Amino acid sequence: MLLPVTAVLVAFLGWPLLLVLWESLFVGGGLSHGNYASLFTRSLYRESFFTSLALSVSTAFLGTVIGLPLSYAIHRSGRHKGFLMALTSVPLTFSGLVVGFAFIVLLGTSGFFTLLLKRFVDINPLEFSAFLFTWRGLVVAYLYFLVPRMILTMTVAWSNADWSLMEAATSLGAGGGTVFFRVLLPMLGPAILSGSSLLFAVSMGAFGTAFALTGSAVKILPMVIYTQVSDMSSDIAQADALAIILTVTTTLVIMVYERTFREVK
Amino acid sequence: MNDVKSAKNDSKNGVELVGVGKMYGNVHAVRDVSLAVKEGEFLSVVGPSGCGKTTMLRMISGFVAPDSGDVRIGGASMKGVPPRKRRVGIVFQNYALFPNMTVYENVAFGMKAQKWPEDRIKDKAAALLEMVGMEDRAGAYPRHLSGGQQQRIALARALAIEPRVLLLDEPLSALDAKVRNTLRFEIKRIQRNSGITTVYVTHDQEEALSISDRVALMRGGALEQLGVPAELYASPASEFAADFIGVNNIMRGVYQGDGRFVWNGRTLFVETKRDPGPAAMMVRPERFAPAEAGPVLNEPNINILEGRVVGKVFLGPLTRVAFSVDGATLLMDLLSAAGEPLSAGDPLRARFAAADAHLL
Ligand SMILES: Nc1ncnc2c1ncn2[C@@H]1O[C@H](COP(=O)(O)OP(=O)(O)OP(=O)(O)O)[C@@H](O)[C@H]1O
Ligand SMILES: [Mg+2]
Repeated sequence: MLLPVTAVLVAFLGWPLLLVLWESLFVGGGLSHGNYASLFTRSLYRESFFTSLALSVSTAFLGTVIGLPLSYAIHRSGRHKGFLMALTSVPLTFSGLVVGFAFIVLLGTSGFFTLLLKRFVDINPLEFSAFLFTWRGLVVAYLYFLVPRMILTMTVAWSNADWSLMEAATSLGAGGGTVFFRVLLPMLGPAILSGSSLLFAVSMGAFGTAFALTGSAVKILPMVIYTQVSDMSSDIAQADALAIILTVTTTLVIMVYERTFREVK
Repeated sequence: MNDVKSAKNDSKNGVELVGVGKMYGNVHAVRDVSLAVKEGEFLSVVGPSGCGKTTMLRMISGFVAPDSGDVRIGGASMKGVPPRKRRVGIVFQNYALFPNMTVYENVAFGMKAQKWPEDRIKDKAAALLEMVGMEDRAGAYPRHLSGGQQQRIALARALAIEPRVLLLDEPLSALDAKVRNTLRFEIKRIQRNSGITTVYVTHDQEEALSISDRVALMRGGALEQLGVPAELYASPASEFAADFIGVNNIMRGVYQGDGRFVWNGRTLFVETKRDPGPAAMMVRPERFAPAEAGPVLNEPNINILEGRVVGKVFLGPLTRVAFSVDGATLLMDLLSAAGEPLSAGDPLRARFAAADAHLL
């Protein structure tokens, strides 16, 4: 059992990563850590790194806060549950590019909702939709495919939830707040942790939606990596180094995050 | 069955159900149940799966609102009183301990929620943990305890808020037989010492008979019989009750009056005050005994049935023998050590006293 799993992990995760790591260590034919140092020396890399972090932390947080009540509502929706679950999965089947274009068509400068809104309220379409092409706009667009992921994770947790814990707490005299924070949240804790970690990891690596919406205007790390690979002045080794940084950061943040909250619980 | 006394006489912590009913869709989970649990009484509720035991408990605790009728605690109607204000302690089948809290924190939870002073919480928690024999595990987490230990903590936690009523929903059914047996008497001891009004749901009739002041038997949401254990055991009110309490021999025939019951053409003696007519006679398996060989002479007060052994099951101290009489199969329990071994096909004479037959 362990052997095939290890083999698959090595073949499809370990080996490619090792190749990328190896390539990233060469500058002009010689071994160097220069491609990593440039994260600190070149402001483009530094900024894109922090933009990616800000974007991913925001989407993970908002996606969790929005997904939690929605997942509960779907869990309690009785005979409509199957339909709502199916509907929830739809955004997951779209590629990031499609989501990006959908947002332009709906909320862009001449988007459907923008024009509709303009009819009734005095807005400047240009100013209104400008928001969409900043990293905050990306947060909104990302939530479109992240919230469903949160919901799918949480509906499993809701159906495994032990409601007698809540009844026990209530019968002991606990009020709504105490039951929520001392009983319900700790019970859902593992699911919330893995759900929000998933959202964080997906936003760190997501690319298509941002590309469709902003081209390469908003500098996020995956976009910078992409430009390194595709531009005339391509620098594969630099792209490799940034990819390693992206992978390591994502893994580290999730590890620290999960460890912290497991302890608190 | 309708011994709902006036609330005034029943002291302040009794529970009364007055014509309580609850429907789920078109399922009558509980129908028109009236019963009074006196202060300090230990009442067991038994009955087959789905007969409404849990629903009844949840109406007392307030998590289910009755469609009709009224639940009263200490004489006061609980209409509109939310569960957290009822001061009802609950022990669940799956323990329902808070997994993220230690044993001590679990027991202290209710007292903290009710804002007791810190030192009083400490004293009370320590006393409760000692009472259930868990004082040295105060710092442990529930997942490190056995099922029996978890249920002890659950009991301590429920009692911590000094509830007016204690409700237990099949608290022992997830435990193995040995733990179940010790814990049931421990629950009884703790209940007696604290004098708390208790409603105990179980599907195990033996458990109910052994620890209760009274037993309520439910069937299809309604109360089938309510009485002290000896009464339920000796005079079940219906075939259903008899079957549930463990009478396995039910003989249908006609009561002719004057202590004579005719079954399959045989006349059997029975002690009863009922009127003649079709009836069912019940005899417990342990009331049968092998009879000496000889002519079938049914003297008054003793009945003898002749038949053949069809099989037997070894039950430890008892051996249950199935024998057939005129095509009907009856069961007899014998002490395992006693007598010559019977085997299938052997002729058998079984006797039972008229006083041991119960006529319905
Ligand atoms: N929330 C609910 N929704 C719909 N039907 C319910 C609900 N709760 C109980 N019922 C139905 O009401 C009836 C009584 O259920 P209840 O749980 O009270 O039985 P019980 O005696 O506790 O059974 P068991 O011994 O299996 O625990 C059953 O037919 C059950 O299916
Ligand atoms: Mg039940």
